[in-house]
Amino acid sequence: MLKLLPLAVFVALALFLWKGLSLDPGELPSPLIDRPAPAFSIATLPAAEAASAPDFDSEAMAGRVWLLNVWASWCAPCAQEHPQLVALADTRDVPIVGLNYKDDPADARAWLARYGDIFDAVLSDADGTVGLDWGVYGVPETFLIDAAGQVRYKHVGPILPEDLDEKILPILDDLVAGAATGARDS
Amino acid sequence: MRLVRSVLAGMVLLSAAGGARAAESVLTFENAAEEARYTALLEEYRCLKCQNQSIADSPASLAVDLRREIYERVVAGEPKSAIDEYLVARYGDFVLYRPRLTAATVLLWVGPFVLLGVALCGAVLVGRRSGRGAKAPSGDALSEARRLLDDPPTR
Repeated sequence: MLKLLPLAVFVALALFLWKGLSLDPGELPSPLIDRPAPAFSIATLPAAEAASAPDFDSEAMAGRVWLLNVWASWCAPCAQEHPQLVALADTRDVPIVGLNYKDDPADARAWLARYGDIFDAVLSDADGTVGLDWGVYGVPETFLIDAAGQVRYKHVGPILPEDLDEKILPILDDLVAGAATGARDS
Repeated sequence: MRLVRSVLAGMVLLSAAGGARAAESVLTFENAAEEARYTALLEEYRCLKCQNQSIADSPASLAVDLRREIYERVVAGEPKSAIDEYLVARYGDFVLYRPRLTAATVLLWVGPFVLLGVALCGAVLVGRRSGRGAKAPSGDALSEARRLLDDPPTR
């Protein structure tokens, strides 16, 4: 029995190390999950230089399932994930709010013109204060917020096609279905 | 000559790096104790962007933001617990180099002691087993050994 101990220790260690190979240390669980989304009120990206831009209040999203996408023109993976956001906007009736993080407004406008503006609102977080409240540490990041105003899912890094199909869309559809039944019940 | 040149180049690079950090902003403190508290606090938090650096060390823009945030809180006289709370609410326990004892981190704290206990138990078990197999030498063997020691056989 005791002879098997080294083997057991080896197997346990090997399992842990094997698991460790497929973990991404850059991906951290967000403490915001299942907590109320941080409220904010922030200027939107002006449509042109010196154009006035209305403020956007997160209150406006109350009662709706929505998606917050943190992006920047200097962020290469953001361009990589953009087709997936376009697909999402085409197939789902869920507002997508873009948080333009630490970016130059002119660069941000050029980026949107090039890749397509699918955002229902683009918010200009030039100094990153809203990003700080949401615990943003790498761009792009995507949050799913339910009708009760709680953060339900966070995706760090670009949304790849498989991420969209396997994670984002199923969770989003669940949240929308939940919101619909919730509204009928009340 | 080559060595001197590379050392000089290194010094130029180092001073440039120092300059970049200094350009961030010049912080003013009420007193030396406050400044010491700020500097010590920066070492307590992990930069989320470059995870093996503290907020004090990291040049990432997130670390710059967090330094500013912590500075404002230190100057406002906030205790460490409140600053911990602020950071953990946003980035989770991972941001603390010395994680707090919670249900989620309990394994982290007691795990090493559990492993040590298991290893000690194993050592005791193995020791006992190998002890059981050995026999004490008989009286005959002992007297034979003593005789050989006292009177070594000559070659």
